[in-house]
Amino acid sequence: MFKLFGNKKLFLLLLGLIFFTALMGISSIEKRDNLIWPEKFLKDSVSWMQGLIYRPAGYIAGFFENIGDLRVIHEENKTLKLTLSQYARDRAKLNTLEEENKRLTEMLQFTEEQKELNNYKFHIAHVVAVNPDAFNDTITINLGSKHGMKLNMLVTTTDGLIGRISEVNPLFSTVQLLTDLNDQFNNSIGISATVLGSDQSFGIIQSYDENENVLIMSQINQNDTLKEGDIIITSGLGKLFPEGIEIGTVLSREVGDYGLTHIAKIAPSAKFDNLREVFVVEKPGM
Amino acid sequence: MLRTWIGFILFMFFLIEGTIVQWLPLTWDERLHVTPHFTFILILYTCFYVQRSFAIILAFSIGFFYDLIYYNQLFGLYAFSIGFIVYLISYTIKRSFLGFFMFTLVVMLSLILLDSTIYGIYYLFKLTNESYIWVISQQILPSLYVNVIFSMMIYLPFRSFVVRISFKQKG
Repeated sequence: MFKLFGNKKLFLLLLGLIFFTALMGISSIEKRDNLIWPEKFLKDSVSWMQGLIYRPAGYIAGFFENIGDLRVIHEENKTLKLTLSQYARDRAKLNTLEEENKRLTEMLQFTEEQKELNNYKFHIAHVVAVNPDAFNDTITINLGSKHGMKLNMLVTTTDGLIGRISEVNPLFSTVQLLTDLNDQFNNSIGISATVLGSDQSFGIIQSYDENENVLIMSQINQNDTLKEGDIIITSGLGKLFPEGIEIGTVLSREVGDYGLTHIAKIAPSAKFDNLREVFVVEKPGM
Repeated sequence: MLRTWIGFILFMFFLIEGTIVQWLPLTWDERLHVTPHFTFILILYTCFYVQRSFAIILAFSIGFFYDLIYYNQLFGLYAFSIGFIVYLISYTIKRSFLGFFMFTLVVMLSLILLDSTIYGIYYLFKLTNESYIWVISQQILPSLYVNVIFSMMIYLPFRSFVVRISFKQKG
């Protein structure tokens, strides 16, 4: 036989096995929100060094991407001009609506807190590292508790929602991407969602299907008007997450597992790869 | 001297791993997931071409480092899987010298073992519900492909680096 099973080594091996099984078992049960300070310090300094590599790499890759994009730019320009004219029109509309809204809230004597409720702040953050582990889709961003980051703040790109802050360190924080959502695990939090333009719809984005690259929205009422092609946004119900942030478009709708509620498959608007700049949404009073 | 250098190089590759997933156009299909195991491969190199005991110590410490920096739901997962696989491989393959071809085979074997162990532990703790077949085709094989290419690329530089440093130390 191998020397591997010498008496002393076998003993050590068994001891190690027991130690690691216990360690993993305990850490899987206990959910830690507060890290101890040496851990925070180590994480922050390593994240800083990772940022030194990540950002130049991003710029270089972005440069080559831009060269590849030259061909489509003409087409893109045309469509952008079109949307720009629409944008100007919407802007005018928005101004009048905002005025009216202000006047109405004054009339209804809203408290200062209520007025501030929908006044979200967007913090721009740079991605410094991506978790290489295949079963944990998280990224590290260069904003931390010193910059006012808190647990469960939503993170978006210009296209749409990408995740939530799952861990905060003084200078850097970790973002759990939507692709990591799963209703069976206790580290993921479902996001309540609704349809853009119809507040009555309700569902919870609870898991991500890795085979089809779609988000699964569950607990939709049978009588709900949600249909294919609808744009899904966060609803802000439950007061944990801000409202009105785009998540994706509905691909299909079907009867759920137990036949009582429906589920919908949603194609996410944001892309989860080649992330460089992201926005953290700060909800006032959170 | 050599040990300090190897520690430094490992740390650099640890930093690079956090970047390379995103920026190299490694994936031709969005669903494939490539996990870089550059530090692990360097530990295997250390194990076979520098010193076995040093490599085992490195394996456990780098593993703990992974667990600290990317807190992956389970603490000790990487320390366990990297440490024990380096330990197993180093004690089962008892050859004083491995050629390029044999070494690449060993690297392939240990990479498959490592990815399978990580999957196995996640599955054991019910933190993933993908099937093993799916994980093999979507994660293990693409990662193997990229990592083996990396391993082949650094074979000559690493050997010559070790020889040069030890030569300097003696003379």
